Amino acid sequence: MQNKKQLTLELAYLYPRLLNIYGDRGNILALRYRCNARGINLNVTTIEIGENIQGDKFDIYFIGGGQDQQQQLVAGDLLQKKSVIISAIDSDAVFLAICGGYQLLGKYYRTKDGNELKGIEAVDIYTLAGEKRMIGNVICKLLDSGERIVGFENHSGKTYFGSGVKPLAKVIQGSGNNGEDGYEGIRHKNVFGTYLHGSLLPKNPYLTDEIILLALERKGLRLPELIIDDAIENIAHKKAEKISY
Amino acid sequence: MEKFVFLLSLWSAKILSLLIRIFKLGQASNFPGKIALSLQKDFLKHFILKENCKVIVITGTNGKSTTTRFLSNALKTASKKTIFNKSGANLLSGIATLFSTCANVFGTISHEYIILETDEATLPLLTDQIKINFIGITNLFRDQLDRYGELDTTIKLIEKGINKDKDIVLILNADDPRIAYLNSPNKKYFYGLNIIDSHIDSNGSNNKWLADPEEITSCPKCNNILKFEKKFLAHLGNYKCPTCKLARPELDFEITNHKTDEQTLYFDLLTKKIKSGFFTHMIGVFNLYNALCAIACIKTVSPDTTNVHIQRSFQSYSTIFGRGEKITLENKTSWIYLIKNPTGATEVLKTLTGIPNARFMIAINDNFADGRDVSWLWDVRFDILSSHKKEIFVSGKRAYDMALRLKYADISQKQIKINDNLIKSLKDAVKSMNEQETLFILPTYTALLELQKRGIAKSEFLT
Ligand SMILES: [Zn+2]
Repeated sequence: MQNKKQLTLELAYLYPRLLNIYGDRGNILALRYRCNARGINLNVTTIEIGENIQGDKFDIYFIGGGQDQQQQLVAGDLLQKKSVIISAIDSDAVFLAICGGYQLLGKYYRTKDGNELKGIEAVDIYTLAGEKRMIGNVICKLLDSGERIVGFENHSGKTYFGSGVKPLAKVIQGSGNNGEDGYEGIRHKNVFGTYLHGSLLPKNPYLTDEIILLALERKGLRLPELIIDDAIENIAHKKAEKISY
Repeated sequence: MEKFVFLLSLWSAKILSLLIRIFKLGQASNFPGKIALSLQKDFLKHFILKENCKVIVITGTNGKSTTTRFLSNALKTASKKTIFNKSGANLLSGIATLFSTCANVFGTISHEYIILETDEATLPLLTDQIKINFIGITNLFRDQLDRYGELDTTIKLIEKGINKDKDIVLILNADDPRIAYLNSPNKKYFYGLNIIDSHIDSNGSNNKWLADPEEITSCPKCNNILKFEKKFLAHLGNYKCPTCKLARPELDFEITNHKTDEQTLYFDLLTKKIKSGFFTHMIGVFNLYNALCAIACIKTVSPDTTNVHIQRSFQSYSTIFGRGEKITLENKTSWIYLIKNPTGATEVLKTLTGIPNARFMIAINDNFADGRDVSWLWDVRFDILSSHKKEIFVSGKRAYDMALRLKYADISQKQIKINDNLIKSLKDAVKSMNEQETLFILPTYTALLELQKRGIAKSEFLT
C-alpha cells in the first residue's frame, strides 16, 4: 500500500440492539466487504437510545426492523434525533432503511385502534396497520436502472405515498409497500427505504455498490475501478429469483 | 354418538399406526393423529385418564425435546408409568398419535405421567381439549418469525393457552424476562442460573453490532431497557429495570456453579437451601438450562423422585451428546446437530469449534417447517468459523445463501464447497476427512428429515 491516506467512509448503524431481527447486520457486512475489496475503510459507529449522532460525521446511515415493542422505544428516541437526521438527508447522506426503520422515516404508523406512532417525516409516506401479514420472497425491478432486486418481506403495515415521492422498485413477485399498487420501497434524494430483508445487500451487490458510489460521490470521490468476484452472489441471486413462495 | 365417533377415530388411528409400522411408511408419529383429528375435531377431549394422572407440557423455543427426555427419563427411573411424545411430533397431530397408541381400545390411558413437548402456537389448542396440570417453559428466541409473526405474538399464544385454566402450575425460566413476567395469575415456580460466566462485553466495543444475537431487552412492565448484571446465554440472565425496579424473580431452583470438560457437565443445584451435585454427558450452557428446567419440573410434579433417581437417569442418557446424534460413515465419526435459529446455531458453533479436529457441513433448507425466510443465517455468529482452516461443505436448497453467509464471515471462497445435493455433499465431506477428524453436520429441520429418510440419521433425534 502507498503512503496515501486511506479512503474512509463513516457509517452510522442506528439501534442495532433493538432493531436487530431478520439478519439486518448482513447489510453492514456486505457494505464493509465491498468497501474493503476496493481499499476503502468502512467505519461503523453504533447509535443506541439516548446516544447523540454527530450529524456531519456520517456518509451512510442504516436502520433496520424490529418487533413492535422495540420499535415503539426507537420511535420516541428517533424524534429527538429528527433534525440531525433530516439535515443529513438534505446534505445527501445515503440512508438505507429497512422494514420498521423505513416506516419510521415517514409521517406515522397508524395501528388498528387508531393510535399513531409518530415518524420523523423525513419522507412523505405513511403506514397503516393491515389485516394480514405480507410474508414471502420478493422480486422487484429498480425503477431507475431496471436492475432486479431480490429479498424477503414480513410486515403487516401498509405503506402509502404522499405527493412528490418515488418508489424504489416495481414489484414482480410479492406484496411490496402495500400489496395494492405494485410498488416497493421509496427512493428520495439518497434515501433508500424498503421492506426487503434477506439480508438485502449481500444478494444484491448492484445495490450495495450503488450505496457506496453515492456515498463517495457526495465527497467528490470516485468508486475505485475493481472487478469483484461475485460468483456466489450472482448464483444466490439467480436462485432467489426462481423461488415462487 | 360422540362416543361412537371417538372410538371410530381412535381405532382408525391405531390401525394406521400399525400399518405404518408394518410397511415402514414413515410419518408414524404424526399421520394417525392427524386423521383421527380430521374425523373428530375434539378427539383429545374424549380420552379417559387415570384419576391421579398428571399432564405436563414443555414448551418454549429451544430445548423442549431435551428437557422432555430428561424429565421422562427421571420419572421412569423412579418407576413412574410415563409416556411422552417424540420430538418433531409436538403439534396436536403428534399428541393425538401418542394418545391413540398408548390408550387401550376404549380410549383409557393408564399412565401416571404424560409429558407433552408442545409447540408454542399449539398450546392454546391443547388446553382447549385436555386438562393440563403443569407447564414448564424453556425460553423464547426468534424462531421461524415468518410463521408466528413476532415474539410478542408467541408469548400471547402461550398466555392464551395458560389463561384457560387457573389451576395449571407454571415452572418458568426466570432468566428470560418475557417468560418470567408472562401475564397470568397462576402459581409460578422459577428456575435460573447464578453462575459466574457471563458473556456481556465479550465483543470488542468497536464491533458491538456483531455481538451474539439477542432478543428482548426491554422491561415487560414499563418497556424501558433492562439492565443486565449478567448474561449467561444470549438474553438469558440476571436483570433489573432501572426505571420501575422490576427484577428477576426470586429463584426456587438455581444452579450455583458448574464445570465442564469435553464431554461432561457438572453442576450444583440449590433448592430449599439444600445444595446437591449432578453431572450429565452433555456440553454447553443450553444443556445446563435444559437439565435445570427438567429438575425443576421433576421436583414440582413428583416430589418423591429423589436426586439419586435424577442422577441415575442423567447417566443413562450417555448416548446423547449435547443435542446431537452420533453416526458413523465409512468408519469416520460424525455428529448431527440440528440448527434452526440464530441463538441455537451460535451456541452450537461456539461449543463445537472448541473440539480438536472438527470439520463442518451445513445444510440449509427453506421448506415450511424450516421457516421460509433464511435471513436468520445473517444473525448467526458464523464468524466463529473464520479461523477454521479446512473446507466447509454447504448444502440444501439454500446452499448458496449459506455459502454467501460464510463468504461475508471472512471465510475464503476457496474453502467453501457448495453442492445443493445433500447426499453428494455429505459424501464429499466424508471423503475429504482423515481418520482423526470428526464431521459435524448442521442441518435445518427438513434437511435432517432427509438424512433420516436416507437412513443416515436415526428415527429419533433431539431438537
Ligand atoms: Zn420497568
